[in-house]
Amino acid sequence: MSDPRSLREHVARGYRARRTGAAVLLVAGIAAGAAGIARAVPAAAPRWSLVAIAIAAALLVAVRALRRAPGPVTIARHLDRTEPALEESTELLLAEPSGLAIADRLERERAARALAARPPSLRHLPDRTARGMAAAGAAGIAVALVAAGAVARGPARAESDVPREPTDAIEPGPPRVRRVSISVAPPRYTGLPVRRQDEWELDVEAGAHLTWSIELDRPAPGMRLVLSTGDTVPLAERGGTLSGSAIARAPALYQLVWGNEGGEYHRLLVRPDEAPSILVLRPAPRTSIPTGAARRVPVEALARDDHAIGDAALVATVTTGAGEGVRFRELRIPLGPGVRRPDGVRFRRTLDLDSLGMAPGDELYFHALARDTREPRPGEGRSETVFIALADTATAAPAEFGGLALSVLPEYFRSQRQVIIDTERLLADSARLPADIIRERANAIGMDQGLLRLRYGAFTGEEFESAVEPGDAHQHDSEESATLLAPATKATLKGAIAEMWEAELRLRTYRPREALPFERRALELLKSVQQASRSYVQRVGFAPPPLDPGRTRLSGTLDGIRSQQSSETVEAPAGQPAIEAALARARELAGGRPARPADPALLEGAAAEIARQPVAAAETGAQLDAVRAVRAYAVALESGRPCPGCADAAVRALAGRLHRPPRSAAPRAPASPLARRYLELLDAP
Amino acid sequence: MTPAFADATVGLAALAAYVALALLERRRSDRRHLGARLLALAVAVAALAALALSPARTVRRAGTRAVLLTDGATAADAERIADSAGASLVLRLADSTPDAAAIRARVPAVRELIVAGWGLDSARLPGFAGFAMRFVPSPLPPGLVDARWPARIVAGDALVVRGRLNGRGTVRLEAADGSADSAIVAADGSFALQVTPRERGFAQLLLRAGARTDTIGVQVATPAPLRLLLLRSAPDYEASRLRDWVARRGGRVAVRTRISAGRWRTERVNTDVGRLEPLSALLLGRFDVVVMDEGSARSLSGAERSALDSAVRHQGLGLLVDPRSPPFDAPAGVIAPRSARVRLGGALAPAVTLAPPALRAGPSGGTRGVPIVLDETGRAVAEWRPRGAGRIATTLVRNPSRWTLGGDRALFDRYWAELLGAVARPAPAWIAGGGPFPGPGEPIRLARLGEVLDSATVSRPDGVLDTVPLDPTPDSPGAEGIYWPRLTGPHRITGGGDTAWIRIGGPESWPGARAARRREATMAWAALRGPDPAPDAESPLPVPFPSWWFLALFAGAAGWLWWERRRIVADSEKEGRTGA
Repeated sequence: MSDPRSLREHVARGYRARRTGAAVLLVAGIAAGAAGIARAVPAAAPRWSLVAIAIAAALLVAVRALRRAPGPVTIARHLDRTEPALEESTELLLAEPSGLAIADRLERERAARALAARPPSLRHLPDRTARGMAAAGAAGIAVALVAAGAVARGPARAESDVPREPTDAIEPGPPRVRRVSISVAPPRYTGLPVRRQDEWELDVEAGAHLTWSIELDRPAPGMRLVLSTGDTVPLAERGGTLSGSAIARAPALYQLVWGNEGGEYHRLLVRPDEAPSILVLRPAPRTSIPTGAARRVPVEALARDDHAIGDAALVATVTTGAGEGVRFRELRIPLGPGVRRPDGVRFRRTLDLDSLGMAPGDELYFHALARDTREPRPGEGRSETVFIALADTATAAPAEFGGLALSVLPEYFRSQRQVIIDTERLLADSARLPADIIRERANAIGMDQGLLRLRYGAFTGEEFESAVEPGDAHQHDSEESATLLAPATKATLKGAIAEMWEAELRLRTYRPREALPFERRALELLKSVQQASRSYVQRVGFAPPPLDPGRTRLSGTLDGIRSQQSSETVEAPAGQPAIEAALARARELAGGRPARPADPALLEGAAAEIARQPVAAAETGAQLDAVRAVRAYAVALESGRPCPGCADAAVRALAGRLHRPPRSAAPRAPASPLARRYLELLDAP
Repeated sequence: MTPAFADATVGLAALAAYVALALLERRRSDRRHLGARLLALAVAVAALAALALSPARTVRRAGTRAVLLTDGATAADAERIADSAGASLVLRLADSTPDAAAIRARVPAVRELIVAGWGLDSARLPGFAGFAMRFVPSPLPPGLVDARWPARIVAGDALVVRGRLNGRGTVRLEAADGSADSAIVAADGSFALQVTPRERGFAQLLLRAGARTDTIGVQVATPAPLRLLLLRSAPDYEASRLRDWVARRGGRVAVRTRISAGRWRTERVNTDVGRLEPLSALLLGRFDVVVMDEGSARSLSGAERSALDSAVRHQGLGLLVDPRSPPFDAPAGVIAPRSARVRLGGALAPAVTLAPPALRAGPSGGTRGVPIVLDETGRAVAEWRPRGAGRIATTLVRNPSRWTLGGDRALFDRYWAELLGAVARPAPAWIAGGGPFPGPGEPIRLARLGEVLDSATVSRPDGVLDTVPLDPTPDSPGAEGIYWPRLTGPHRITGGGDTAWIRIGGPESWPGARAARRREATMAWAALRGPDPAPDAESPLPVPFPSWWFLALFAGAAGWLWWERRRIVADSEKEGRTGA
């Protein structure tokens, strides 16, 4: 050891050992501390790169410190201070003996002897660099421990999409979602393109194919998406990205679930496909085609749909015949390819009534039917019904009367026609006939008209006077015959009688030409009554069960008849126990009661129950708000953070999601002693 | 030193002070405002002397009469009233005189109190029984002056809050679930609001009037499942609907339908009750209500009839019978059943078929019926009559299920809830009486009706449980005790497997309504007591002038003298500078 070199090496080894230990501590401490901070602080994405930078810097410092061994002077100073035996002569010991004065050489030998007797201690090497590195490393470890403690107490869960696994606090925190990408492929029939979005909230068409791609900061097995409808979408991991897909069928809330806990709730709004609508633009809802007019009816319809119209057709019913002999024939007439316009798709077609086999007096009812392109079953929409009538006389009005259940006597109608024919013949012959003959014939026709009017009046119960048949004056027709006609029909018949009366008046005063319009109008009204007979309801037969003639009835024997017993249990509808319990507790907390450790779990349970409630699409927003309000309060309670207004918001959210309780009979309270005494006395005999 | 001597000393000292100060003023070289200065000096010295002497004026007052100042009146109001009524002193219900006994101890001569302000609580008034009383009420504050609501409603039922606003404005009632009702008050300030709370247990609603919000607490009770026995002489659609309605609410239903002579069809839903024939006291004890048609009533044996009557009279069983059965005995109608609309919950329900006979409007069997359902014209179509401890009801409505078929399920619910609730066997209940706006320190009377309990447990808002001992009530099963709340907020009362709630409001809650209640109570009390019939003759009584008058005079005069002196000094300094 007296050898300066070996002494130097001895001390330098001590330095190296110490510095190596300090360097290891430094790197480990810095790495642990940086990682702890990165985990505890939910900051921006590049935090792990910062961790790497910190470790690299620590390594650099360590390597530099290891490479820079202490020089001889440092070693000499240390030995001078720690070894009194050397008598401050270490520098001599380190120097080459050849260059020393005699006294120095003697002193050097003395020092060498002393050193040989007791080798220098390496316990208190004055290495500030090593101490600094060790202190930095220890500080890093302390930071890591503090951060681990903070994470174990629970991070702000609302800020994370993925929950922490509560049973294992030593595990690194929950995986965090770096990026989400959702591909929405609307059903093919909609013609809409596939779209991608980076938001969790979804608003999609019914039947759309959804594919989630979720990037996490680290692999996490067992991740899945859970819908409030009860469906689960498993997520498969491929290349660090989780992906899963589902078909959007019903609106729901959904969340990313890891282990036993779920993250934030998100909304999945599903817009159902709407049925198409179709409107008949032409012809008018009620159209009458007079005799002799062209029997071709142009039809134009406008169809609309939220996506696309497939095809359209007319569903027509042709009625032929009169009275009880009405026959129906159903047809389906396709409407050709439509013309796309900004306001919808227009379809045109001309109906040839002759080709439909329609004759005068027949009617055609039709409605337009449009179909969209929905798959697998197209949506359908239909228009209002359109009526087309072919008049059977030049002057007959279309039928607009319903509910007549009486056969109107046809000979009366013929008689009215006869009156018209007679009047027309009289007018034709009037040029060559003497005036008195004309008067006589006009009077005779007027009498016929009067008779017809009287006979017809029997059906309407009209009160009238007649000079011709005084016996009928002030005679009310029987109630039965008067009420057999529907009110609308009766009104029409009264109108016809009034027209007959006018015609009769003019015929009796020898003005046949003036009478003719009234006669015709009377016929027209009577024809409309005849047309009304179309509105018969098809008869449905009654088939009584076959009789068993061999069986004796009303025998009075009760053999074989036994008392019956039945017993069942009806489940009362399930209440909302989680929400009700959480509401009662939230009310207490809002009133100032101290929180209990079980409270966050109670609120989380209520939030999950709210999320599971099936709601209409329009209500999912309110549902999601309620879930978030309740969870925000649960998180605030768990973390112990003050959250002013959270309790009241949670109370409102919970109460708002309660169903209206069913009304049930509640017994009254017993009567008070006084009331009881009163009732007893009142009831006493 | 006698008072007269002291007064003379003060007067002489004041005079001497004035003379000395006046001489000093006169000696001053500057003789400006001398008259005013001397006057101000006189005023200041006189005011100081008056402060020391405290002079008094003489009024005629009765020593047995005092004004009692309560909230709503100011001290000035009280003085004015004391002057006009000749009262010798003004008392305030404060720490020195907290109640009637303290007033009696402090001023034993007082026999008559003139209460000024909004008066005294009805709980405090009995303490003033020894005093004659007059009341000079103050006008009520603007805002809510009355609000009434039931302490308990049944889940699914609407809470109706009626009240009055002093002034015009809008009132709004809000439940925590977001449902709300609002109204513009009528010309007389009255209003009625209606909300159906969804929460069960204890619902707290907010009543807003203008800028003020008060909390309404109401117990929303979930009744125990009903136990129903249906006796039919033939299968019946309506009976099946009633059976299902009760069963779906957790009720226990037994149906006995006669299918032939001595043959029955028996259905039991949610119950394991044994044989349903014959009716016995034991069997009937297992039901709350018996619903019976006319045929079943007629086919009861004598023993069955007697058991049924006894169960109604003595056990409180409810009975719903056909109108043609006793005790209604409505005559069989010859006209066809009529279709009519009926009034349910204040609104007209769609038409249903009513049985032909009209219910007798007058007494039948000595007791007049209490209507449950009315028709459009206000005649009863369903009513109940008491019989002993129980009730017997009848209804003319033949097809209530028509409401369900027509989509008005709520009407069907309401109809049966009201009908069965009116007659069902009473269940023990808590009654908490403490007025509508109980506050901390005000006694609450807790009564348990129909059951004798030793104690009630009150859960306070802070979670601490208080035990309230109860004493049995005489004459009928029941117990009662007094609870003194100390905290504000909802208190839950439990005992006997039953729960009730009360809400204790803070002193700041319902100020107008509390004032109105106090005013009414005091007015009624004073009207009963009247003024002192033999008051003492009014005697002259010295009333000292307020000392602040003299203080103000002194401050004014001294202030003016100071200002005047300062101005003169300033002027002379200015002259000095000019001369230099």
